[in-house]
Amino acid sequence: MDEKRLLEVRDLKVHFFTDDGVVKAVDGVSFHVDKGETLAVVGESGSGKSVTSLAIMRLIPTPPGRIVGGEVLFRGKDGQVRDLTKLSEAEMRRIRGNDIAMIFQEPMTSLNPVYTVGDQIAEAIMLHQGKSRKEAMELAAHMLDLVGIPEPKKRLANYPHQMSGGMRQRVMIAMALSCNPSLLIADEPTTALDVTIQAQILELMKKLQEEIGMSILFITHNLGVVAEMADRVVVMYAGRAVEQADVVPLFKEPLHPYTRGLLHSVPRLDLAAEHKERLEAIPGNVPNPLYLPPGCAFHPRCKHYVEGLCDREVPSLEATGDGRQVRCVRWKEIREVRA
Amino acid sequence: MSVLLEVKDLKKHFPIRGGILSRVVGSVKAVDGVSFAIRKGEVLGLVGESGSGKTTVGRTLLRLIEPTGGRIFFDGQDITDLPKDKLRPYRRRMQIIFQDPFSSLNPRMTVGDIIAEPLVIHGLGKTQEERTERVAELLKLVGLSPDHMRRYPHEFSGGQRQRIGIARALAVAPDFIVADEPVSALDVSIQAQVVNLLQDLKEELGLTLLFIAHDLAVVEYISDRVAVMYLGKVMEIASARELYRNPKHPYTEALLSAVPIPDPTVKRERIVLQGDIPSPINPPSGCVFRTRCRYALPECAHTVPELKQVGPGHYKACIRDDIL
Repeated sequence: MDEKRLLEVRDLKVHFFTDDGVVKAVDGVSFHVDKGETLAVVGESGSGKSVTSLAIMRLIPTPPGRIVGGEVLFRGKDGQVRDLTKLSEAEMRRIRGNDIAMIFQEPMTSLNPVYTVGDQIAEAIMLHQGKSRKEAMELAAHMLDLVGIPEPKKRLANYPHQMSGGMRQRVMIAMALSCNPSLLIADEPTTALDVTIQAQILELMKKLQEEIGMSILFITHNLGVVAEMADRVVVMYAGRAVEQADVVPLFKEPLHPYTRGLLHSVPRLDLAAEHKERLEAIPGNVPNPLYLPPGCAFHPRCKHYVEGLCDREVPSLEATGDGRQVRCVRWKEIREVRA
Repeated sequence: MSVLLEVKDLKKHFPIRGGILSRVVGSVKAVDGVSFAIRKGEVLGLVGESGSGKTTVGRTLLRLIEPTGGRIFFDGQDITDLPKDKLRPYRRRMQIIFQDPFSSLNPRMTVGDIIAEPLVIHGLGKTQEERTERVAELLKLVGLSPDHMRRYPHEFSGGQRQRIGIARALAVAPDFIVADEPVSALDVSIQAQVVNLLQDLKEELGLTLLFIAHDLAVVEYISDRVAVMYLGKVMEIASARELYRNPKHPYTEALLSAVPIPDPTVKRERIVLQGDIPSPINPPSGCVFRTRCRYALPECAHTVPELKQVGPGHYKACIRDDIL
């Protein structure tokens, strides 16, 4: 694996074996995260973005789910590259929290309501860094200070319910960063928050990334958040990556019809009023993961669909030559027509 | 055009009980003196963060929650104190669409029965055939198929369920609909479909809407005028165009700047508000926004600012005229 690579996911497959059949939640996803970089994985519900992040952490509930194929290569703090899918549970426990930390959408359900936030932050520090309780509490207070919580020493004795949603998400970030992870996985970290609080948290994450230099894998459905946070973007649809590019070219010239449709369906504050008559919706519904359409999973909703071409085989993720990747058999034609 | 719905100084305080005798020890001032009017055929957007009281306003003006104070006028009639039987004809004319398409449809009823229920309650559609015909018509109107009538809610996706909720609200041919976060639970691509549907229905049926949402961008697309709420009070109200281009209240300014723009090349100054929305149990004295306002002066703590006109149809509740 390349020196600057921190994480490389290769052909990851996560399937869920349910009574109704096999749900291929993630079906052959590949991407990488470089050191210090922010990669955003975007998609709607059912795209497999959250399952991908849980699989990296090996947190897929088994049964019914299982990683059925692929590799998750990760460079640890010790410089060694390991395939996380092959590690024992004990080895994995040393990686979680220490090398890779994760924050979730709903901070209330990820914090334990019967322990103080101080206890919860200190627990991870004692476990991974072998510090005494006293030292761990001091570091916990320092972490709360770092994430902008006023009177951090007092706040250590608070229970989660005594804090607001934004405060709790700050606590989650403090906890996640307390062991200096090299990768932070943030799964919709601001979705449950109000916009003004979201702005605070995004600002904080950017500042901390600059100071600490960790990489961020940012899972979100919000394209505004992507534009603000990401260096690179992977767009997922129905369990597969359909497009991958740097953030500026992706927003400037989306190549996959789904990416394009998604960008056009977002209501935007920054456009002039004459463009605001009507939103361009993508017709149809997100497909049922049990019965994915044959060929390109997006074809029933795509305006560039060609019978006999798009519904035969799953298109491969093609390199476009300018560092981008797209999974559409017609991307060249579509690009030329637009140009 | 004439005013269809008007609220004057609307208040809803929820009592907080405590101690062994459950005595009232305080109150949550969810809505604290809200006034606005909606003209026939108009869409008024009501935006605010969680805890601003926007949902309580929507429910109080339908009298799903009884107001603590203030008056509600519908089509010229004061409906604030109307007894239940006298209120019923007004209930038919005012409907609501809920946020969560999963919990707002009864899972044991077929889609046909769900949509027909308001017809039965209001005695519209005398026979089964008449009702079935009306339900089929409504399903087509919201972009579903009449065949869907016999199915159950769990067989539908979130976006389709929201369409069922809309069909139910439209069943009794209302004049006025409160849409309470109707697209917040939906995926982006589906959200656009539902916003477009509401826009079409408004044109086709001449509906008047109160569109409640926390997403400022969605509200702009559908609203003629927009009111911004904070901690139970209206901070600013103006035509949608004017409010977004030329916000006059510091809170509106901050709220607009906090929305992330889906374009990585756009760089703009962001006003990051410090702290959280204060508790509505014990709101700040004077202007409720002053604790997070970057323009706050000592005077702001003393007087509760009244909504005053700052332009044609543009009102703000702020004592400072030297800003923005």
